[in-house]
Amino acid sequence: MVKKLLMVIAVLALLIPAVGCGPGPAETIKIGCVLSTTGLLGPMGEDMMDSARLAVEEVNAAGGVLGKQIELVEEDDATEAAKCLDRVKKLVEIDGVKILVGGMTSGATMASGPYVSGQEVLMVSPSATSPEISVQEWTSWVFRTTPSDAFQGRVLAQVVLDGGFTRLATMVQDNPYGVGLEGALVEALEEAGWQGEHILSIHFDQTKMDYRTELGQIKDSNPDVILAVTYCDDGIIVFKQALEMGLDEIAWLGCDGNYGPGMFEEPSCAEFMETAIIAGTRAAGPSGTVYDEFAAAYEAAFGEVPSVYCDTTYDAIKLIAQAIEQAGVYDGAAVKDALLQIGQDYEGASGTITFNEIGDRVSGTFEIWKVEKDEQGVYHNVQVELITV
Amino acid sequence: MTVNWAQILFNSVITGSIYLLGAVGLSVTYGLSGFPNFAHAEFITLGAFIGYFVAEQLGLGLPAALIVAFLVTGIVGFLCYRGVFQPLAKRGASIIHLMVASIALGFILRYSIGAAWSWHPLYFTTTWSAFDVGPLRVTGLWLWLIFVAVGLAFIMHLILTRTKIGKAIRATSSNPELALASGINIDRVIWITWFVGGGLAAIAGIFRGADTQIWPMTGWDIILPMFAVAILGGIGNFYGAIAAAFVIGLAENVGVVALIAVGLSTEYRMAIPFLILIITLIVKPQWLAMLFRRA
Repeated sequence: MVKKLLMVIAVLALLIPAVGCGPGPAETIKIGCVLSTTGLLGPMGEDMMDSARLAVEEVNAAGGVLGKQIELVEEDDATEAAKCLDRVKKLVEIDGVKILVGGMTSGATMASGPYVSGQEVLMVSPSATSPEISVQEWTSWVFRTTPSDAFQGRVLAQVVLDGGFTRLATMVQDNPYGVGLEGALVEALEEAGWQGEHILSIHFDQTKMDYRTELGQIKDSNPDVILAVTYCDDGIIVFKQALEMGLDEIAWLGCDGNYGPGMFEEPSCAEFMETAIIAGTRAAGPSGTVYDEFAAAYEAAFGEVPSVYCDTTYDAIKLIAQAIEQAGVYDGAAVKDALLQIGQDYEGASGTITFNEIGDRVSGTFEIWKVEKDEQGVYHNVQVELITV
Repeated sequence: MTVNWAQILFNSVITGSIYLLGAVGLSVTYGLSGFPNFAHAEFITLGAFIGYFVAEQLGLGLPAALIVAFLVTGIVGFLCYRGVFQPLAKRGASIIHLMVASIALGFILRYSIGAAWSWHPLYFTTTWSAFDVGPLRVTGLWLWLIFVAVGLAFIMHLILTRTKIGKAIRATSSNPELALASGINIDRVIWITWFVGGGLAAIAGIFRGADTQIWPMTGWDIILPMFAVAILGGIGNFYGAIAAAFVIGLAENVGVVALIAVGLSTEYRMAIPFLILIITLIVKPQWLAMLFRRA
């Protein structure tokens, strides 16, 4: 018995130095990175992670920060908001990370925000777009290198106003992203003195994939314009069933979530998008020299052109590295203050970044896109115009 | 707000038809083998992938896909029972052991399917033209689904009432000991139900896949309402499961209208059939089963 007890104590004693050291004064500067490299957004998350790796490589090649190399501690939240918080806790408590890039979705960011602010850890999201994030108590600890959907809402509102539409219906994901963008559009329309009416609002479950009755309700309410806020997989089903239910004669609006070639894998969806979507929006990096350099480096490293939110992920790492250098110390609060100073007219891959006092970008450049079919019968997203708001 | 009730009823029949095809096998094997088979979700998924393989990769069309997927998945269902559950049951495994084993088997099947095909969603490339019939909007696929579901239910009914094996299944279902004493080969009866249950699940998978997408979670995404159907219809009760499939399909679709009318997210649509289920279980557990019990 005594022997066994001694064994246990001996084993525990072995653990003590490990715990004691913990994060400690390491030889590298750790930057956490929680993205969704598996799950619904897996393909997008993989590309974003590649952009983060590229940025870290470049910073390290140029001598790192504070004389040390940056170590990117990668985590995957499997496109689940709750898991993102779990991974963030792991980064902070086990790896001793003080600054991290993530969460990828608005839901993941909303779940992690209260925790990081309590721990005085700085989080920079490259792709959480919900306007709801800006009004949270903890928002000053969460910077965003992508513009808030308040701006995307304004761009969409402009499309509605220009088209002279007066009966709006919305079919959006029931999460902070979908509900947030819907709210941003309605608010922007009200601000502009729109004379129309928001006649129907549907918040759907993105895994159910049986939307006939929802779409039938939209049809019966007789709108002249419909906003669809979806991701790729659920968006395909919404548009396919909308075609089947005969909603292709109404004008539809798309958004960043249903942009991209993945949508055209299902032929009915592609056909619907070409005929019914009069305009979609997405955050777009203006084609400046910084973006071109980034895109060339990305293509050289990974053999494909960067997709959505790759530029904002790259900028997030670059900004953090500069802010740590400026702060001169690896500490959440100090780097946060430094980031506010660095992030003024900063020329990034995703355009000119200027943060307001809560770490949101004060303007954004958006692309209006449409879907077109070429002579070979292949569908493409084409840019209609760029709008800076 | 105008509501096209004819369309809602029709949508309910579409939803209900998928549930019917998926839940009948789940309910009958649950009844005969005495445990809920969670790997039934993977029978649905496997059927969808085999259907995709036959219809798209081999280009043989939907009818061939339905037949091949029925047979292959039916055999997989039989093998799962013969190879995993029957030996466990013979060694005295309880319902909990069998249930956990079925979850494990489901994982193995799901990830094997993912490795064999892909985790990236696949789509049937056939586009079904839509047309209006009076107030109804229908597509060829939806009509096919309803025709196949109702047709198979009718064939099952004929087999259960008119054939020797059907009578043996009913006898085993209502009293296994007595059936055994009467000289019925119970093992064979159970094998046949696992084969047919797996085959029907495959048909459900193909239609779900053609209506939406095919990926390794196809079956898992819709297994929950199917359990609701099996329980509401009475475990092991074939006619109960048919009725319950349409009751739950209707509850979900009327639920969507109601949720939109009160301004709630349609994400709560699944709460409505489960509310019905809970109320039924508390108030009168046997009512639906009694309504459809055959002598």
